[in-house]
Amino acid sequence: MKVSTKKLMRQADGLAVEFSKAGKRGLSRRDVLTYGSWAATLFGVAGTAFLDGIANDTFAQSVTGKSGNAVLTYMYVSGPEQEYDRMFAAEYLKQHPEIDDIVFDVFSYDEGFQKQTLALSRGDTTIDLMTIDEPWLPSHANAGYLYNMRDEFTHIADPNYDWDDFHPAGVGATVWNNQQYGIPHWANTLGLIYRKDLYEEAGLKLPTPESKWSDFEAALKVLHRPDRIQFGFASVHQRGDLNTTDWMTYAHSWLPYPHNQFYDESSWQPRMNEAFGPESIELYVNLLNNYAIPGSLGVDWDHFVAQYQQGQIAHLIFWSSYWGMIEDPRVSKVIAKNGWSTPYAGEHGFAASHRGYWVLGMNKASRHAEFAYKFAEHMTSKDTYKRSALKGLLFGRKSLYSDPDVLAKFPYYGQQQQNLDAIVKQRAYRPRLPQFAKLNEVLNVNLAAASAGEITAKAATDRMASDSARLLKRWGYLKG
Amino acid sequence: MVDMVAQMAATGRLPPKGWRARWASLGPWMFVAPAALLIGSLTAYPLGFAAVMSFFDYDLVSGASYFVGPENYRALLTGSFVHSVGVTLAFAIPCVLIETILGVAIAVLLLEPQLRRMRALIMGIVLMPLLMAPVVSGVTFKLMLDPIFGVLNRLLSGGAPRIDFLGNATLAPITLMAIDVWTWTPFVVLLVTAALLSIPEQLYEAGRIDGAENFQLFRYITLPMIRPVLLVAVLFRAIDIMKLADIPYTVTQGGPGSSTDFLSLLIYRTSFKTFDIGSGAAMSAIFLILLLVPVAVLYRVTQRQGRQN
Repeated sequence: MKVSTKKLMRQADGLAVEFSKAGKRGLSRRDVLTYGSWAATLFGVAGTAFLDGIANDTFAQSVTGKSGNAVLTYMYVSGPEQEYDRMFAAEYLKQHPEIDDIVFDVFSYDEGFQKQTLALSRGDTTIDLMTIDEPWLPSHANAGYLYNMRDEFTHIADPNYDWDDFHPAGVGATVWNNQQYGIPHWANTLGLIYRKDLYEEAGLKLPTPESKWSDFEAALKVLHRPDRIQFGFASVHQRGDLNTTDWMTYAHSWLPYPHNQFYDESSWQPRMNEAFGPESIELYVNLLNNYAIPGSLGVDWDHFVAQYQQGQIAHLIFWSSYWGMIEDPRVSKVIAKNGWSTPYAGEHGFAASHRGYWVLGMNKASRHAEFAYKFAEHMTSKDTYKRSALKGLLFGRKSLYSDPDVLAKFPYYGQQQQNLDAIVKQRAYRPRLPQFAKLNEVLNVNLAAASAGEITAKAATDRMASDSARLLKRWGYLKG
Repeated sequence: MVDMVAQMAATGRLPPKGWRARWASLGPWMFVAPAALLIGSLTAYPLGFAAVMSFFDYDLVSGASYFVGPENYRALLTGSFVHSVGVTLAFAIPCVLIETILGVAIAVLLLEPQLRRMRALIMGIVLMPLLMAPVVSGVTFKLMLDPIFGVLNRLLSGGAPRIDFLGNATLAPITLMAIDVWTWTPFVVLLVTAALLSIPEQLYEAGRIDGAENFQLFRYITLPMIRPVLLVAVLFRAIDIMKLADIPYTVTQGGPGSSTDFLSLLIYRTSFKTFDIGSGAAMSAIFLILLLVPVAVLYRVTQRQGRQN
């Protein structure tokens, strides 16, 4: 295309006049778009920064629409305690007008560690209190995310608050580096609940802490009746965070006291590939294959607890936090048909339970730490706990295990105390280190493979030992 | 000067001067800026950050990180990663194959003249699985397949032993395949039906005049005509199925054993269950490269189709 420069120059002269008129009129459409896009970009960036900066304050205080006073946020694991803890919190609010609201930020167990870790690691100031599963505590405490609740609030603490009334098993679950990073809130133990009526009907001897796994198998041979939709037992066999805890209970019982740890306590040398490891896995897999509910490798615990409540299972080796639900007439068909015991003893060892405390911890970044502490004190007082106990729920104070009112209503609390005593004696708890989640993954992947028959028990424990040794060396625990 | 004049000719305006000229020259960049910022902050930055993190032992809890070089990549060769790649491919290949064959068969059947009146209704029913959230599908199937409570075992339990669909290491991957086929075959049906409707009827008439039978019509007319769309459908499914996480997460959690431990589940667990961000990033980097293969094929296919059109 030919373009005449002169013609263009003439056009330019003419346009110059137009342009100057346009300039007097204001901005052109192009200018508006240009400046507009600049403004939109800057507004977006500034707005994002502004919202991010004020998010914690604004959103936390807007929960009730009020302002000025404190709103406490309680990151809370979903479970049967929730119904009554909300009620206790509502009563507390009525007596404390300085607190506007107590928000229960409820999480499911499976997402709890991630949710808490992400909130704490980004310094979330909206979270004040949290229920922490005990294996998560070393990670949170080691990173400096939690208050030492025993020493940092002495100026406002109730002088009658009795720290010595917590069971030593619970104190062990809440201390890290000699500091009390939380209150041993709900004493949860891995125990045996069984259908006493079925035992009596079959003329079998009831389980005791002296009963061995071989006694269990003998009872299972009689009580496992798939033709009657009555299955021998259920336990966590599905791959996940908790199958290892169940197996550890078998393994702990296999070991003679006091050498009962999966890792040497002084050197962190893995020990699960010693004889007790493969033998306990073989037992675990044998019982699973022959007497467990169908689909054991694929069902979660809510599912088999429901089956037990329906009267389809003779034994559960599972957490005591569910015993209350099994004795709850609103949801269970097996009321007053149950017996409880510490799980069985290995051929060379002792009956072992397993510790699974829920800790009430406080976020170090909390903006209402003192209010939160006083609320925590209230929720863990003997009075509140007794009211929980009379509803069949968990509590943390040992004096209530001998309370006649509590025992008369729910006799299983006596067994709970025996489990706790066994735990202290056997030191039956998961390895305590901040990186436990990763270590647990190594254990549960290999245990799941052995459970599914992909590898032998020996291969599983060898892999557990070698993989965890590699990690422990990487983290600097294991030398050499 | 010539440029300026050309610009004036094109826009019909005098070029701006001074600060306005400088502002105006930034104009195009400003139009692009919001989108660039969004993509940069949500895609490019995390991708770059993940690539860097794959060379670190990064603890999300404490924020501490240590440079470990290619150690995270080396560890992949001996850990669960290789197994998960195998599990993912062993799942993806038959699934895509079955979904494609079934999808084409259903689409061809749907266009049969005898079904003309029912076509809308059948299409609606066929497409229903696509409308369900995968997590809902997963939970529903888990309940349906339960060995005791499940409706399927109840139907089959006329004296037969109960089938443990999800608790058996051999059956569980096959069960997940069935769920995936049920969910995603409609996607192939949808695309292939659209392609079939665009084939001119005259081609079939010409084929029939030449004495072609039904199979020959399908083999020499239908299949070549729908091939480009089919290829796109296959590639979309291949990319999507490699990322599969929601249904196995809700149904099997990677088990029993490691029989359904797909790559995406392994990466999720490594990164967000154990917070081993370095290893998770290394896995993601390799996973991304694996995914880029079908993406590159898809890109070439669509480019070629564009040129042909």
